[in-house]
Amino acid sequence: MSLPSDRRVFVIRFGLLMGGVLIGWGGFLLFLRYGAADGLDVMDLIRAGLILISTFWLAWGALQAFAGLTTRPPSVPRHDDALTSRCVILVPVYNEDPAATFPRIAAMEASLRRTGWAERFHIAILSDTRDDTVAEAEQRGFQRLLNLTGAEGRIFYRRRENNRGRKAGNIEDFITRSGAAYDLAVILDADSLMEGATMVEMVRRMEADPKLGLLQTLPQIVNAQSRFGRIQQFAAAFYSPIFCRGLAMMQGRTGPFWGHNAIVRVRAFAESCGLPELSGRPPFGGHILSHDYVEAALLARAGWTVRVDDDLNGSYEEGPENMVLHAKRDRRWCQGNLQHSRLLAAPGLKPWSRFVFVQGILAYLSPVIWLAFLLCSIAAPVFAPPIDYFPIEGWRWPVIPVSHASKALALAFCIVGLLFLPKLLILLDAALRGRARGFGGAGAAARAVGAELLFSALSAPVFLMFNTRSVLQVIWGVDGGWPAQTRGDGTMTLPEAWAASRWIVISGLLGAALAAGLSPALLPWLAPVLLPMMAAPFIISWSSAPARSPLFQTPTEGTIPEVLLLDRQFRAVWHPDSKVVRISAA
Amino acid sequence: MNDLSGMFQADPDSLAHPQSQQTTPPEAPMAMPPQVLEQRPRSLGALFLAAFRPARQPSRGV
Repeated sequence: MSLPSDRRVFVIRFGLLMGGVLIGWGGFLLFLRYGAADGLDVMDLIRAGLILISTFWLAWGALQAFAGLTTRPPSVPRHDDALTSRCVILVPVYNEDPAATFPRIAAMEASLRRTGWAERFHIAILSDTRDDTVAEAEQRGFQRLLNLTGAEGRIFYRRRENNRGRKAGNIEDFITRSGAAYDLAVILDADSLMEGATMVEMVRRMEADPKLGLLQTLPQIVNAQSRFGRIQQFAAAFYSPIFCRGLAMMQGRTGPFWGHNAIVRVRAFAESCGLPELSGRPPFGGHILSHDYVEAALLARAGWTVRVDDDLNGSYEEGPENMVLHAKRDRRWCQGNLQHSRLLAAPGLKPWSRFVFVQGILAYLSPVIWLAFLLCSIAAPVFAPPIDYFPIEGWRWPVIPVSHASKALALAFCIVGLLFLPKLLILLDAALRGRARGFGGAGAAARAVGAELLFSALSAPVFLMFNTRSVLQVIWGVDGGWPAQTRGDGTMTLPEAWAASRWIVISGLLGAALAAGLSPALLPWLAPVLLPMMAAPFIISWSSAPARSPLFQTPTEGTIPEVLLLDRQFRAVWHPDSKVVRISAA
Repeated sequence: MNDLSGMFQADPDSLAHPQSQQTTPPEAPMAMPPQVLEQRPRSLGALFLAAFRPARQPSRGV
């Protein structure tokens, strides 16, 4: 099967969108009928509106998974001839530990040499580091890197004097100084790892399709150590390929860019992706924070194809090891996505690019909408009209209102179904097609999915609160800045977790008190949200601890990929005291 | 399991190897003009029409 035509992509997008709208509309009507039991009031209408948006958003995610389960990746243009492009691998670094970052570069370089095409690739370490101690370590690390790899003249290091434009500005600085020396650039993050064979395959696909401006891979999370990290790693490996397949079905020529583990055509990127500073002050003005979505939209605007190929393996990254680090990263992404509201009317963008911006915004507003729904539900009795037991004039017997709680139950059942069903279907698909073997077999995968669903249910209210705080901070004009990514151990003691989440505990207690006072009948319904909020420090601390159970096995643990093995080898000899002074991929 | 034999070949001379090669990326400037993202439409109609303005085609191939 080849790439779908524009017409087919339109039909798929339209069909799935309509499906989401219809399911959202169904939720809206169901809630209205429930609310109408005791007479419709303004709070019922507000809540029905909130349910409409939330249910649409859930349905949209679920439909992507269903779509992903129904197709296989199409065959894409590629060639098997000699590579002709001059390629550069860009590794932007920003205050990260060189002892973690540089061995990865060495591993990728060695992996490339094994393909026989290393000479077509240069590697540029683009430092935006502000900390002088880290910068000195980078300089020493660079020499160590050259000594270990022997790749003098192919691996470069430069440090910017100022970090205008952050990561996007760092890449732009490279292109304006050195872009003409290269045809293609693989853009990575400091924690990225890619197999040499994968990068060569990406070059083959770029060379075979002259209109392809950017090719994105789906990176898998690796090296997770904590319980939280391993759950995320499992979820990314088990569910994400299916969701990504669904996304790829709808992408057409306007696919995604996630900022790293992708290859771009340098000239296309230079022509199309120079980012302006937005008028006004951060968080909505200033530098564009989530530049990747914007760059994808700009490439598509200029007529280049942007594509994610979900069949490309050998692409890896690391993830946050605890919930607080995850929330910190999300704070940055939240600001970046809400900033895209400024670009919805940017001239010439493809409609789908605008919709992608809307999706990003909705992703962060959706939890706030759920919270608003819960608060409205608690407050609803205050607004409800008194029950009229004699609605019919002249009728002397009281009319007892019929309970429509069954409709509320049906709605709740549908919402839980939209959350859980895609994951259960992915499990079934993995078991039937044999994909579960990489996860320890169907039984182990089922146990992992069950545990992941349980943890998702427990952690969702905590993330809902972190997310809501991020949105409110951005709306109130608080700029999150540009904190360096923190990886590594991530273990949090209970006091540390308490310090990070006590406001969530207090919010949970206040919510319970409010519900007890205004709507005691709602308490059992609210318990799945309020109890995890009250237990937030325990959930955060417990999940940050090192994982000891073999649960959540992923394929990269069963068969360790070559580049990960190389990374471990280079890490082991990285310290200058190591006897090994040269590593070659002969 | 990957065969890693041959990956670690001690080369005692490497540290003494003169760093004669270039260590910074080559000088090869390329223009990267800032794009227009905030063109303010004069009316709501123009705002709506902006979304349907045809996109430029790629200026060249590979």
